[in-house]
Amino acid sequence: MKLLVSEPGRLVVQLTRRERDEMRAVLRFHAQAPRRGPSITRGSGEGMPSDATAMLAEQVVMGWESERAGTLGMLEDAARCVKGKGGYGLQVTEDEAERLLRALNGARMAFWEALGSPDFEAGERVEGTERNRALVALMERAGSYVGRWLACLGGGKEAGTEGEENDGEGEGS
Amino acid sequence: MAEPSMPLVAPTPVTTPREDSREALEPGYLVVCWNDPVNLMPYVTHVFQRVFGWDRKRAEKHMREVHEKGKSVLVRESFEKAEAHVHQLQSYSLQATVEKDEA
Repeated sequence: MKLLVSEPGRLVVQLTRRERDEMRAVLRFHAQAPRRGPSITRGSGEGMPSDATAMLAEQVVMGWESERAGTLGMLEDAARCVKGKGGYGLQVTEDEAERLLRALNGARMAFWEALGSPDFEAGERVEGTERNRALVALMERAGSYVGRWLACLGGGKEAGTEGEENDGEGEGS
Repeated sequence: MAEPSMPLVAPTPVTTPREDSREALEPGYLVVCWNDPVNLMPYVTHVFQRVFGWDRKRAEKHMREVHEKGKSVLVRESFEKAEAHVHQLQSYSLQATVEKDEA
């Protein structure tokens, strides 16, 4: 993954075929792992204006799904993700680049939630079933692409090379 | 007998929508980001930069606070602005909440 063009309102990122296919796979599987809606408060929410906000949580979930579908569509749009020698050139605006980042990270969160939201930082592990192994692999794959995409946007480690695995470094906020 | 000019029932204080919204506009709400075991540290830093327009140093300071202390108070705002920030942070899948500032 490599940033080829960065100019106002337009970025062009070179993707290998494998990178494109894996991002599509992550986003497709994400559709099978729906997210839980967030809350804007913790505890009783005492002191909050009373009209806060199941509606907002619903909007966030709808936004996630819309971004997932839109991002997947972008990767599958031959006019936006142009096939070239040895891979693809994905053309995006700055906002679309953010959407792609949110969608990939949202997929990572969805797989984690499907695993039962284990606290990996505290050493919690999940049962080694086939389903869980697949979810962990998808979660790691999504995390790898979050890191690569961030690097392309200039915010993280250097973008990985094809086939590089996420080693989990820097995990957890 | 009560005098004609005296009301029989004490008037109930009326809270106008304008007063309600004024209270909600007072900058007494905190935007809090909570630690989670999933979001990547560079990702969280990036989100803080995007949502609040902070430089990297400031964003990293808050990211580290979230990671090490379990949460970080990001900004103090009116309810509407705090809610909007939380909405933005949640769109990035960060665990963010609004708390009334009791200080």
